[in-house]
Amino acid sequence: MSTALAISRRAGCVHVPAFSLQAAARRDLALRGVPLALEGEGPLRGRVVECCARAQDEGVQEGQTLAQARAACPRLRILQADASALAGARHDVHEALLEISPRIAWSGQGTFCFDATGLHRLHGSETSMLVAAVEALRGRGLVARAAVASTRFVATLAARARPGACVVRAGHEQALLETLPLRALAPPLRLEQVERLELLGMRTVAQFSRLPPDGIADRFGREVARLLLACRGEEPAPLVALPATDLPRAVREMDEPLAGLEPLVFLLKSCCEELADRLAQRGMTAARLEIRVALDGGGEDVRVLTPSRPLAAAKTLLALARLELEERRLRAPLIGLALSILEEAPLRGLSGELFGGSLDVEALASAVDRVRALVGSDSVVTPAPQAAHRREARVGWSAYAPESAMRAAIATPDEEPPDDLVAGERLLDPPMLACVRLPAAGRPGEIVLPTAERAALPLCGRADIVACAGPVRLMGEWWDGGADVDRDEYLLVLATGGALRASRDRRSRSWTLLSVLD
Amino acid sequence: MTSTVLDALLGSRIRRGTHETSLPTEGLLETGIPDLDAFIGGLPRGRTCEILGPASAGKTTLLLSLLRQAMSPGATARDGDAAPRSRAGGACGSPEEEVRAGGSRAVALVDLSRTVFPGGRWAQGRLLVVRPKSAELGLRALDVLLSSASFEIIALVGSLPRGLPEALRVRVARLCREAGTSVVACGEHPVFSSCCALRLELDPLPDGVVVARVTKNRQGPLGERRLLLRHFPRLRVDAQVSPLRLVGQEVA
Repeated sequence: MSTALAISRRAGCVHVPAFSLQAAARRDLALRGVPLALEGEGPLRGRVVECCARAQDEGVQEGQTLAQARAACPRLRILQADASALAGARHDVHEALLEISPRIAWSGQGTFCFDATGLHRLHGSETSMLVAAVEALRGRGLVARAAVASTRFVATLAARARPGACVVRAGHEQALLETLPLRALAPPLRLEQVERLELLGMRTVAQFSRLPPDGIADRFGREVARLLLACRGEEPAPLVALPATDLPRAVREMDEPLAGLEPLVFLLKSCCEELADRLAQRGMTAARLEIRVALDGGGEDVRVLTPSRPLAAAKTLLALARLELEERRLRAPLIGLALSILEEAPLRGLSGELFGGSLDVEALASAVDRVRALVGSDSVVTPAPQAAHRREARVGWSAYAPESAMRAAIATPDEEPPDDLVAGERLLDPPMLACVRLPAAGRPGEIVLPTAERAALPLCGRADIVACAGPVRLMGEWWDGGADVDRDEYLLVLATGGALRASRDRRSRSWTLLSVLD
Repeated sequence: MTSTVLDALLGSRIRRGTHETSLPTEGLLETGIPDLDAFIGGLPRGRTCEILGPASAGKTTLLLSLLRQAMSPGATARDGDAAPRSRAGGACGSPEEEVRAGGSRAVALVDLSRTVFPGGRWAQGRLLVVRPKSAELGLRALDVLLSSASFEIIALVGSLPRGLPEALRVRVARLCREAGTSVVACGEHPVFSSCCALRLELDPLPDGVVVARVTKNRQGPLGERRLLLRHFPRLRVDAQVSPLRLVGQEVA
C-alpha cells in the first residue's frame, strides 16, 4: 500500500503595528514609555497617521489633527516620518526574518510574509518559529506580532488581529474568520465600504466571505471581489521574495556627541562584531568596507577601506578600521556611525592551508593592512614587470595580495632558468646627468659628475673607466607609446670596481646615468 | 595507538597548522650562491644579519638571490650548527639533515632607497615590497611585519642612521628570535652592531670578482672568500680597438 505524501503549504506573517512610528522612534531611548504619534505627509500633513498603544489609551486616534491629539494627550510627542529610518527598519526586519525563512516578501503597512512550509521541522514547532521571529525583531527595537496559516491572507489577518504569536492550524481558517470583525479587512477595505457592508448585515469576515463574488464586484468593484476570494482561501498572487542581496550594515547613533578615539573604537567593535555575525550567516567575507561617520554640527566623514584580502573576522575588521581612523583623525565629534559592506566575496579556504606550513594568511593580511595604513597604499606593492625594451619602462608595481604568498608556498616552482639571476640593478630615479669619455686605445675613460656626491653611486666626483660594453641602441617612436628616445646604452666598469649603466643621447650627445649595478 | 605516538606523528604538523606554537627559529637559510653557502653555511634563521659594502659591491645581487631562494618551494634550511659544510662533501646534503622550511612563509623587502626593482618572475606577485618615504617609517613597517610572525626573511635595503637606539636594536633582535624571521640589512655601514648575528662585508674588485669577508659570526667561522657574484658581466678590455668600435664583450 503506497502512502501519498501530502505537503500542506504554510505561510507566515509578521506584522509591525505603526511601522513608520516604530522605525522613527526605535533608536531613541528617551522616547521609551512616552505616548507617540506620527504626523502625516503631503495632504495628511497636520494630522495623525499613526499612534502608539499608549497614546490610543489616552484618546489619540488616527486622523485627528495635531491640536486634537495634543488636547487629548498633553504629553504626546509627535514625530515626523523618516525615510532613512524606515528603510533601515525594513532592512533590519528582512535580515532578522532571513534567520527564520529563506523567502521573505514585503506586503506593505508594516507586514512581512514568508514561506513557512516545512519550517516547523527546523524550528521545532510553528509556535517556536513565530516566537523566534518576534524575539528577533524585539532585539532590533521593534514590537511585532506573528501568525502562521495555510494562506498568506489568513496569516496576515491573524497577525494584525491577534497579539503575540498565533498559529492557525490547517482547516481551522474558517473558525478564525468567524471571530474576526469586518473592520479587520481595513485596509485594504476602505472605511466607507466597511460601513456599507455593515448596513447589509455583515459583521464578521466569515460572513463577508460567503457573499457572491459577482455581486460584490458589481457593487463594490473588482478589488473587493478579489478580497472576498482571498477570504475563501484563494491567494491573489504568488509570494515574491525580496532579493537577499542587501549588504550587511551596522548603524549606531549617539545621544551626545562623542569625541576621542577610544569611545569610537568601542562603537566600532560592536559594529564589527555585528557585521562579522551577518557575514558568517551569509557565508561571505568583506571585500570592501565603508565607514560613514555623521559629525556634530553637520557633515559626514566617509572612508572606504579595501583590505588586502576579503575579511571575515571581527578582530581584523576592527584593526583595519581603527588604523584608518588613527591615521586620519575625525575633524569633529561624531553623532552617528555606520559601517557598511560595499562589496562581499564568498568565504573560501585555501587548498593546502592545513598542511601548507606555518603561514597564517589572516595575520599576514592584517600586517599588510597595518603597513599600508602606515606608509600609504602605493608604497606596499609587489613587482609587476612590464614588457618593454627600455629598461626604465619595465618597472611596474601592483598591489600585494597575501594569497599570493600562500600560493607561492604551495605552488610548484616556476620554470625559470637558474642563471636568470637576479642582477641587482638599482635604477636612479631620476636619472643623473654626467660627462663621460669612453676608454680608447689603452687610455682609460673618465666619468665626471657635475653634481655633488649622491648616495648609492660607486664614485664621488670623478672616476676612471677601465672597461665598457656597448653601445646598445634604443629608439622609441610610435611603437613605444610616443616615447621620444634615441640613445646608445653602455655598461661602464670603473677603476674602483663599481659598474654603471649609462646612455648617450644621439641627438644632444649628452650622457645620463641610468642605474647602478649592485 | 597512544596519544604519545599520535603526538609524535602529528604533533608538530598540527601545531604549525594551527599557528599555536613552534615557529621554526633555528637553522640556516641558504643564500642561493653555492660558494657562499659552502663558506658560511647560510644565514642564521631568526637573527639579524648585515651585508655591507660600497656601491656596486654586489649587495643587492646577494640579497635578491637570498630572497629568491627563500621563496622557492623547495627551499631548505639546514638544522644544527653553522660549521662550514661542503655540498660536494655530502655533509649538508642528506635529507635527514634538511628541514623543509623555505616557501612556507612570506618574504618581504623594505626598500628605503626606493631604487630596487626585483624584475624576475620569481618575485612577481609574491614578494612584498615596502617602499617607505623615510627611514623612520621603514623601521616602523619592519616592526609591524616582524610582529606578525608571518615572514621567513625581511630584507632592509638602504641607508639607515648609524646610531640606531640600543632599545630598537634589541627589540628587532628579540622579535626576530620570537618570530623565527631573519632580518637582513643591506647597506654601507653597520646598523645592528652588537645585536647582529652575522656580518658579511663585500669588497668589489675591478674584474667583477667580489671578496666576501665574514667579520662577525656568532654561529660559525670568520674569514674571507673570493666570490663570482655575476652581478655584472666581466668585460675584456681590448686596447687595440678604437674608441668608436670599442665594444665590451662578456666573458663566458
